[in-house]
Amino acid sequence: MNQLGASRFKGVLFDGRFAKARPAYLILSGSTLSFELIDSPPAESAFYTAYPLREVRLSEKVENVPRVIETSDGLRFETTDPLLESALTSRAQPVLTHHWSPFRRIENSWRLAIGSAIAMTAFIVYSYLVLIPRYSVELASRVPQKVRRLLSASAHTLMKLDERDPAAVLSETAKSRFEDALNDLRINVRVIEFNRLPNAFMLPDGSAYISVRLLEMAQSSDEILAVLLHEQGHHVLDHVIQNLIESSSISALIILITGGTEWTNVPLLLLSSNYSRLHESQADDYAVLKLKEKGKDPRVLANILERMAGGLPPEVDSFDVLSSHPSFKERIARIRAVQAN
Amino acid sequence: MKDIPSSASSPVSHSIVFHGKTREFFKIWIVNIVLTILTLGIYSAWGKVRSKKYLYGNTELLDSRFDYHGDPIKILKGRLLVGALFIGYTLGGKISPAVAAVFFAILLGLTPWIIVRALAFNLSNSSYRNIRFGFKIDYRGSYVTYIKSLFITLISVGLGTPYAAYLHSCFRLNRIRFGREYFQFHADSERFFSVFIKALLFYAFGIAIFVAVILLKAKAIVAIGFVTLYLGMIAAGAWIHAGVANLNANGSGLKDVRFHSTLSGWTFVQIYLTNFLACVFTLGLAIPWAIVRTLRYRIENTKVILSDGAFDALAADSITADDSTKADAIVDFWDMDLGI
Repeated sequence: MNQLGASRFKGVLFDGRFAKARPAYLILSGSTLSFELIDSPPAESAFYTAYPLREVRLSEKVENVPRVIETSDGLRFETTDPLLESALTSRAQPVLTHHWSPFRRIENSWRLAIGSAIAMTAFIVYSYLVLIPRYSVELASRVPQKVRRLLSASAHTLMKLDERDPAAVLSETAKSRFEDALNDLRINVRVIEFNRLPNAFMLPDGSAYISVRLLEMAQSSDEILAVLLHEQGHHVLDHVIQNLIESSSISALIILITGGTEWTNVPLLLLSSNYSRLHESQADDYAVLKLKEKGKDPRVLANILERMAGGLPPEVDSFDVLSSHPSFKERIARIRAVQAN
Repeated sequence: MKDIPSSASSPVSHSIVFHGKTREFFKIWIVNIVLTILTLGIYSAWGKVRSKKYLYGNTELLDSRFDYHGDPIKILKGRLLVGALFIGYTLGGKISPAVAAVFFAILLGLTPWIIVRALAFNLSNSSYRNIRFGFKIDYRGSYVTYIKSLFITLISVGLGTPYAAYLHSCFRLNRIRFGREYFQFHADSERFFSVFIKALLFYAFGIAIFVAVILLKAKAIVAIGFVTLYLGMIAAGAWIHAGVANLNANGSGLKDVRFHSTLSGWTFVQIYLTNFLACVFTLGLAIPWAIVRTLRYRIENTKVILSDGAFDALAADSITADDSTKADAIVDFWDMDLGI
């Protein structure tokens, strides 16, 4: 503390040439300041006199970090004396200092800091629940066809999709059921091998892919239609592009908050899976609605899902929280409930 | 404090003291986050400087504090460059595997260069007692170290990773200087192996639980298996972090100054796991608490061993440096913070 009068401040001086700490006083007089070394011959202090205040710089205040005075010739004086700042800034020619005062006010006030924390939490929750889903719909609608084709072509290569000629790989019954289903659809459907697994999905350019195994599993053309109407729902509602935008937005948000990329994986998986689960339910609802419009029994979707679930190893259907799809059980129950209304 | 003349008295161990407090740092951090979000990331460069000034300024050795002098504009430049490469890689990957491969190759090829630039930026902007730290710009050394360690890791199917870590420590620590005095690093590479082997047990534990859950086909607990796997990875990372930090500090010297680090792997594992859980469950609000407690533990378990006045004779680099202006202009252009 400064107990030596308003114009003397105790601290430590570093000359910038050697790492030697020299206890010293900073002495303010008029529009200049000088340093007086403690425990050193007075002759040494003579080097450190008469610095015009306009040529020295005071470090900005960062909580309780000692304040630093730097001179143009490289001296550094550190002090914890809290009175230094007011003594320096009240002079006719104040020292240079860099202040971003509006923001420092938040730092100095608990009320503002807690207010900011609440605002930030609210912003994260709002972004997640409202903002990101809403603008991803808006943005996705503006993605040009050219980009969609490019994305689809790359997905096609990355997934090593092995397209098959339905006439060559399907049994007669499956083939005629498939052809019947196609008459009621607005999308372009291709048949793939997909390692003998039952699956169907949509790429962003509006082509749907369905596996041979799934086609063979279906017991009526309506079941195939139900699965493909679900995929058409993803297309009509533009889910694929929305998914891309949503997961990118979440990573951007996590990077902004944590300041790094190493944290993104797990929260990203947890948070964005919720969006795609919502999309699955929406596509199911779409399929149920369309089936009803066409005068068909919407339960066919539940039936084929049940059969698909039966054909899969049990652990595939168990990652409730992590999965991008709701579990089959959940979806089947939901479809049955929706169609009952 | 006394002004003590240089003398050859016997070395004494000095603690580094950390004065940072969660409640103070929280306020700095929250301002940074709010402004970073409002400015779509631009303010993060200013925020980084402010945070570092707080954390460095609260680190005290022998009654003197450390300081950080980074220029936010240079940090922003670096972030924009690395960010552009990263976005190019991520988006490129969605559009075409070839574009992603090109960006990946660029990132991979630039990594040794980026490491040097990032170290040089951060060290030359750190100071203690008005003397700047520094890092010798040695791109060739960086590429050699990087390629060597990549080769060793690949050819040994990962078993040589500890040796690669040892090579990286040698490269970095022997090129750091305080003023004009370089740090010197000597360590047995075998000790790196023992750190990694113990860390492997954490991985193994996580993997064992995960595999058991899959084999038992226990539906309800598959998610628990995943969590255990992930926590095992965090624990292994923490163990390695503590062990390597100890080896790095204990093997380093700066003229007559020695360092002694006594981080406990177990404590570090506990700190990392609780940090992770706290940050996830508070939507990130616990991040400043996690940063302060981790740093406090690290700093307060590092001792500096020196005889009286050992620092006094260490000189700033500027005394002998005859800067060639041409080289400076090139260095200046790339003088940016490339660490994200």
